[in-house]
Amino acid sequence: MIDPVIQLLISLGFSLLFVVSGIHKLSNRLRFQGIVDAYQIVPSSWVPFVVIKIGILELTLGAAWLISNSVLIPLFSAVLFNIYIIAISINLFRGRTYIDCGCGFSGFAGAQENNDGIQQLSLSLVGRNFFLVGLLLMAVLPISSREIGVVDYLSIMLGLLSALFIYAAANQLLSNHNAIGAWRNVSG
Amino acid sequence: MVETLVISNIVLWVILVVLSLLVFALTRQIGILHERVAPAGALQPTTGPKVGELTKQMSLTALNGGIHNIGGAEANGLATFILFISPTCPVCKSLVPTAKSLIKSEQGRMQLLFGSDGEDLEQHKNYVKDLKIENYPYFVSQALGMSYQVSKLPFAVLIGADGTLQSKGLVNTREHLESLIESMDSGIATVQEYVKSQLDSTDKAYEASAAEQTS
Repeated sequence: MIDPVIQLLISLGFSLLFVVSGIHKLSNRLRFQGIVDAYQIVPSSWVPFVVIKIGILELTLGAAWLISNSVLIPLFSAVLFNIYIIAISINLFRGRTYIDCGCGFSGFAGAQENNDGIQQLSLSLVGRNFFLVGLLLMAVLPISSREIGVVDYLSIMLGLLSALFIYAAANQLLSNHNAIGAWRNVSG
Repeated sequence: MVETLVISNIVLWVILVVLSLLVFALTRQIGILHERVAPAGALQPTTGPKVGELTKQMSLTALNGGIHNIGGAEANGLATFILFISPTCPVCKSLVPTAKSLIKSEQGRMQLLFGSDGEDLEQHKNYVKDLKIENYPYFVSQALGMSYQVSKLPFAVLIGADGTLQSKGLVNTREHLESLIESMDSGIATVQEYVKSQLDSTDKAYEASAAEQTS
């Protein structure tokens, strides 16, 4: 059983995440096509379709998180994240850690950093996605019934705001880590 | 009671939002800082032996009594990193631990030596003990400093395993020390030279594309 406030916080958070990144992907289709192509997982001729599909899927999921309480939504989202995890892991395994992950758009990171806002693949990125999957699965738990008051809405609003900043900060730290790692390869 | 809790909750939320905003701003600043700080290499003097020249072999007695050959082809196949320091130089003191950790991270492909100059041997012995570098050869030799034309401290010289001078320069930070090793690995003597070669190549690319457009 989880409290409705926590459930709402998770739903709104993921809704925001999916909508923002869906819009970002669809509006920067060309750039995102290059990113998907660099993963070398789907054949190049499929890439434009895959990009549109991912964008629309993310937008749909974002809307669905807002509207419905269905258990299917967290599960679908978890499947999507697992696909990302697998795609990243395959390329980590291939040693292609230098490609852009295409997931650094947290709304902020994408808007502020110009063209060189590249977030390279790393194990910590896989860790981040596993953490998100964990949160997703929390939303599958049954919700306890409770009256939601004004204070609860305040908690949700401010909680969402701080979660947003913390998520953006974590993403920034990940890309800083890559940038610092590029300075000098001691083991090499 | 409930009112108190509600107010404290609101206050805490506000503080949390402000704090997380601060954390985000800080991480951004680190990112921007990294972009702005251009790489800086060790300052290379124009006097003294040139990079790429074969160094003169010198046989010197270290402070702890061991005799070492410096320069010329090293027998054990290691590169030699000489850091010139002095008890009277304040920056040197902070750079010694950095040099030790850097050479350690090079996984045994180079050895670290210290060079110094001065009359009072007792002072040097205390200095070595102070810096915990008893395990490294420490030379008090004017000839060593003269042969590489060391004029300012801390100064570092990197001699390759084949005895040629790989790089040298005035070093103040870890980045400077690393730039010497980087220059040995890449074969580019200074950062300035690297930037120039990069600029030249972009110029050429630009000219090529311009030629394409006019034709």
